[in-house]
Amino acid sequence: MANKFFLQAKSIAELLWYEERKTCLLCGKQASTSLCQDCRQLYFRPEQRRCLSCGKLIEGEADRCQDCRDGNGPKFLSKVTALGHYEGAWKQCIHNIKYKGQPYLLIGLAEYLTSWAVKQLPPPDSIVPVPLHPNRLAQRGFNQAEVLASVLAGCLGIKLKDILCRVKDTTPQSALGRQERLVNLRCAFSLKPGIQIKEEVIWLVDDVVTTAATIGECAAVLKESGAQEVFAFCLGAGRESPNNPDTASIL
Amino acid sequence: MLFYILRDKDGGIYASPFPSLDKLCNGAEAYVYPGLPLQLLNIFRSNEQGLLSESQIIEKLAVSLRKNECLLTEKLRWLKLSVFSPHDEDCLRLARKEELLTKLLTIVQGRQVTENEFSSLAKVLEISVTELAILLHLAVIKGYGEWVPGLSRRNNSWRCERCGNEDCYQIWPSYYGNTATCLSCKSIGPLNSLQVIYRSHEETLKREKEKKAGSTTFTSSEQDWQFTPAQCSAAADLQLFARDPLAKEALVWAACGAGKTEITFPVIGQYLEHSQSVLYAAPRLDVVHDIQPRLQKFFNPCKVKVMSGLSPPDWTACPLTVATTHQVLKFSRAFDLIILDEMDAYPYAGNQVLEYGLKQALKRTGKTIYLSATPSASILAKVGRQECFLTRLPARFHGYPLPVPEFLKIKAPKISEGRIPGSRSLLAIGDYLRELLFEGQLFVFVPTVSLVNIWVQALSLLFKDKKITGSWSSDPDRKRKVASFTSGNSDVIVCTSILERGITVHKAQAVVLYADHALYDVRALVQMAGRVGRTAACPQGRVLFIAGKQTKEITAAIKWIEEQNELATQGGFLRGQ
Repeated sequence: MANKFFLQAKSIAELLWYEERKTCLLCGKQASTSLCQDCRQLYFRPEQRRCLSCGKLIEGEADRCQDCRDGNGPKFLSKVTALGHYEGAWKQCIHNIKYKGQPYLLIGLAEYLTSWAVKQLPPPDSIVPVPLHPNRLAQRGFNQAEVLASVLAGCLGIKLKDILCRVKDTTPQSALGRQERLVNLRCAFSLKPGIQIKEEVIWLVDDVVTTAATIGECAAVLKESGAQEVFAFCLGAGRESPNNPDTASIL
Repeated sequence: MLFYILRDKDGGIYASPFPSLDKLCNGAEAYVYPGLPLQLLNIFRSNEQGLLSESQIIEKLAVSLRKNECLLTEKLRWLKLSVFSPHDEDCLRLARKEELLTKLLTIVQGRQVTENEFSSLAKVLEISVTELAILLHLAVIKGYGEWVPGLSRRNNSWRCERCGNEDCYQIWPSYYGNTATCLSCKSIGPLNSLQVIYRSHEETLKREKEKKAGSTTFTSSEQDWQFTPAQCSAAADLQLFARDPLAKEALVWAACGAGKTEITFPVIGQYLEHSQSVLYAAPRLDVVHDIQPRLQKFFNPCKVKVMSGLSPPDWTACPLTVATTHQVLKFSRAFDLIILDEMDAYPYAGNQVLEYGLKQALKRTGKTIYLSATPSASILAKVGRQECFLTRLPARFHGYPLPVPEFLKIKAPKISEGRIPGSRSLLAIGDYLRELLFEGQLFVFVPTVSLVNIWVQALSLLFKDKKITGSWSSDPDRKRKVASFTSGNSDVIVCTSILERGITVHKAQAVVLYADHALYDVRALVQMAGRVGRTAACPQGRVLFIAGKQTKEITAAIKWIEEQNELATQGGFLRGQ
């Protein structure tokens, strides 16, 4: 007891004497914010365009990547935006959040998530997370998309609606190739019974977008149920190589 | 990983991740569905287990889940194990693979394997993560280990089962209600209360050892130690300590730069000869990477494993491991001998979690040897109570006494607008520093980061023909500056305590400015003085403690060094005696 009291007193004294040392979540170097300037530039690339259909980071003047221009992108989404390029330390951070049980790391990223989302997407009526199948939710203990959606909803004061459900326990998308991913999720999602979303503008939220098959399927369900427009936000996306537009190979 | 409640033949309640395996091995008949994290299932007291009916078990679980704000909607129920279960075939196939289990047991001996490490271990064994989990559970059923939750609930707080931390954790809401992640041992891989640890039993090791009996990997007679008389005497003391069945801890109190690492080699050899496991731990990463090749050279062909934040996961079973004190948290009752170098250095000193890790890694019958040039008051008190054996190594390998610091009473020069204007005290300090610069390169220690650049500027004005540099712990250019100083490209390095340890510079002299500063304790002052006279080519030098007043710490530091020299003289360890 006395020891605990001493430790508490010590930590208060430390607060008074020492400036709190923050380190960048991605590179571990000392920084005044949760991500340092170098990492933000390296992974978020704010100046680079995103494909309007699938969120992929693209070069040049086109609005969409080659795949989406060829008609292979999702059909029901008005715009998709990704906060950063899914590679290196940013990819590792998303893995830590998703697979290593650290969803609370998203709280430290709140200011970057919200400012990017607000800049890129029009104001929504509600924010909807991509659901996990109950079996996977039971194994993992949390749905990273739901945590991400709750961070956005909490910071921006927008309603969070957990209205989609996953009715098929599919093979994880990360284990499949491009063509398999596109078929894997057919009819995997549905709207929960008794839910009304008529004329609503919705932000659909997921952790990573690669082929956009998951968010595409979810958007289809939302649009069929009467949503006016569906926009998507995610933490990371692939990048279209100027020489090799087929990003499936990059990922 | 999810666990299911089962009952054994005596009515005892236990949890298993693969009830099918329990059906095969123990004849279990039913289990509670759905599965839950192990941490939520540890609610049954041993004295009530036989008395609870099946429905009471369900009721007790449901109450506990509600209390934890668990969002589980599925109804808890007993299911028969007689019907086909999803893992039946896998379990049956793996239960027959004795060789694979033996290989796994050798690898996980004395280890605490967390769920996040499963994938790297599975890769080594060339099996899937599920297959690995089944094999680990088979090991648990056979009594080689146990499952423990990553963190357990203790009344209103949490306790990390890997590092013992009870104060520093992040709580977050999950599908299973309040969940905690340990922040103390996060650097060796995150761990939360939904995850589990496979912890190997000490008894397992004994059994495995019996099988191995007679197979030695090392014989010390091959070695030629080439020790100085002082080292010979300390090494002999350590060997006596190793043979004493009642002695548990020993402290080697050595002079800075006396070659304390090497004197542990004969004891290490003694343990390796008897197929016993040894850990050489150090708080600092660079010490670990510096010592591993030295140990490897001495103990060839026995492989010396290195574990640090920089090394990739290595699952090979080795009798001799070198690890940072953080990596030690990955072990449980694994070592017969632990040698802890620089026990008074950051981050080990005063860190209860790392102290716990070291105790946890030591077998109950194991011994610990602490190495230090500046032992803490608590270990010296243990020596005083005769709970810890003490051996001194007072002389440096070159046989010259330690340079005794000179105290100079000079008031610290005033600082205005981030610089030191010319003053009498600055000029006086400058005169002394000039004298030292005739002898060689110069360490100038200052207590705070903000003083580094101020003094670099002031000294650059005083010594225009000298190259002066400065560094501190978070200086991004630290490595380059230190390398430039050690290679002789700069004449003076102004630094904080970062260079007080582990650096040897030929012909170096040292000055401690503001030596009366509250941050400088005896140990820091002794370590800083220890930078001088470390090489055989230049075994002497000067150390100046400059301050406005002579504090107790300054007096004690000078006394410590004089005492070491006196002991060296008494032992006849100094040159020319």
